[in-house]
Amino acid sequence: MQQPASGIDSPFQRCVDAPVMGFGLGIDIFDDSPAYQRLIENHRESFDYLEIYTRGDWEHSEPSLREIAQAVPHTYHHEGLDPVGPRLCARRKIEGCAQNLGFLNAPWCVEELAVRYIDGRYTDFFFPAILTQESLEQSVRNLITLQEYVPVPLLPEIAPYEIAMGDIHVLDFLSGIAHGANMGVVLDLGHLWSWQLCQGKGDDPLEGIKRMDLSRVIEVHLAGARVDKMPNGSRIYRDLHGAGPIPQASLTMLEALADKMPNLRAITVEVENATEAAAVEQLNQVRQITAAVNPSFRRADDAA
Amino acid sequence: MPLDDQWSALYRLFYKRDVRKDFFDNGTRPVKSLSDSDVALLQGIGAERLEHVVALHQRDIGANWYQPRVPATWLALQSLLDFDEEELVASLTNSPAFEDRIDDDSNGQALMAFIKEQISRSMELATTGPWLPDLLRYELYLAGKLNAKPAEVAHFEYAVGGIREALLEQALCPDGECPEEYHSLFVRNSNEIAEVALDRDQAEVVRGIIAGESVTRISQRLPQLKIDDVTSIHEECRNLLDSLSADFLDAS
Repeated sequence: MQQPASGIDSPFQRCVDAPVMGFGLGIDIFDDSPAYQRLIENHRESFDYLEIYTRGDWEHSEPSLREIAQAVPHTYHHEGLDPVGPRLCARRKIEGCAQNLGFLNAPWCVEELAVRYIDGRYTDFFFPAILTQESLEQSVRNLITLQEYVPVPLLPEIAPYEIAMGDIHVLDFLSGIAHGANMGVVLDLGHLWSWQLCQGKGDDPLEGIKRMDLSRVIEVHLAGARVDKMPNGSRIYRDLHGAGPIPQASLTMLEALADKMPNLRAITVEVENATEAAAVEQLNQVRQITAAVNPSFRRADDAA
Repeated sequence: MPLDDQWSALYRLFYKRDVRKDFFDNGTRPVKSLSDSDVALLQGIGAERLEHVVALHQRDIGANWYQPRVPATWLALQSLLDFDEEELVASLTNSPAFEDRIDDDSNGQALMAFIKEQISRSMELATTGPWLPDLLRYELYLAGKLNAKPAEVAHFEYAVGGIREALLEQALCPDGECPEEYHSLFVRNSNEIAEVALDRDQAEVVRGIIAGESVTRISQRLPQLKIDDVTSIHEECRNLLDSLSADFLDAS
């Protein structure tokens, strides 16, 4: 295990100090569609950076990570640190994350506020954070400890909710994480809407947005989804990433918020399982909406 | 540790249908030490929503974990147990066998435990599907999940190759198949698995070749054959392995 990372600046400040990345595509290095190699080869002008997903793997990722690191600007999205669990995850998982980051030049590391293991057992999806004060406090402790061993700032992301457990608003939880751990956050607009759907507030996807300190939002995520309807009319958000269209609700939320996040550094469209054409098209859609509201948001090189 | 208890309770409510039913119908706590406020949090999820989401994930588990890796076993279980896929996943996840899984049960350990549990519980299944564990093992080899070495020979008590073909190509589920030895050579490269069916003598010889044994040593395990016959089979099998090595192993 490497020594805890040292430094004066908070993880949040280090993100704020990073250059604006612009508009990026979230891709899985193990996917054939879209294959990152073809996106880089055929569509390099369409995106500013790639957000790299490894499914939390650190045993088979090195060649791809090195290749991408050489080729394009990038951010990194790990998974499996289970920061909202009742205790810290196994050390080897943290080491794996740090190892992957060692091959990259990423300004930060995104991690879902969710768990993949409960009582040591793998689950078939990411169980999102239990939204209670106790859970919030434990998550903050976990994140602060994790940050000691991860060489770049952690950027926690609100996870998708199909069921929600807890008595506090998801945006209070996210704000509590941001300030408690002194970190920036990823605001995934679809995931926020997924929680609203659990509360029966799907028609008002930005309900409670004033609770959130939007200056803490470093990165925004959008992704394709399907919304299932239950017999009683309730709706359930199913996170499909590139295998579906970006819901109109997410785009509307982007339009409403794009100029209200002063420290926004990156907007990622998660496109795993999309065709190359669909991936590029979704990013263009998001770029146009953002440009109409916040024309000054662009990657640092372009802004200069 | 309330947070531990909350997560454990959530896990049990999600994967164990008996626990779910007991909780929402009778108020039985999924974890005994849960406080009243924890119980209120769990109830806040809503029985109907939870049931609906669980059903969605049961479909995902069938479609993503088992159907692609062990399709014939998956079909056979539905046919012999007279379950649809959702009921099969619900029974599997509800079973203690499900807790045997490693990650997404990629090595089929939990499914194997479930099959054995079902066979031990049902005389009917013991009669109609005694070949199920063999079929699962066979499909796990084909999926590259049990193969420890680039080339290995496996022995099955039932003619699993034919059983699998009948299930996948004709949608026929054998009923009460009699034991019939089946041997296969599985060869693995980095992309795929090749299978060659062998007879018993060939299997013994290939096993010996892979282990680096001499013809004389192999022939000691085949006392029913003359040494010339063993030599002839050895040459045939050596050629087979050489050609697989050239065409398949080296192609990776």
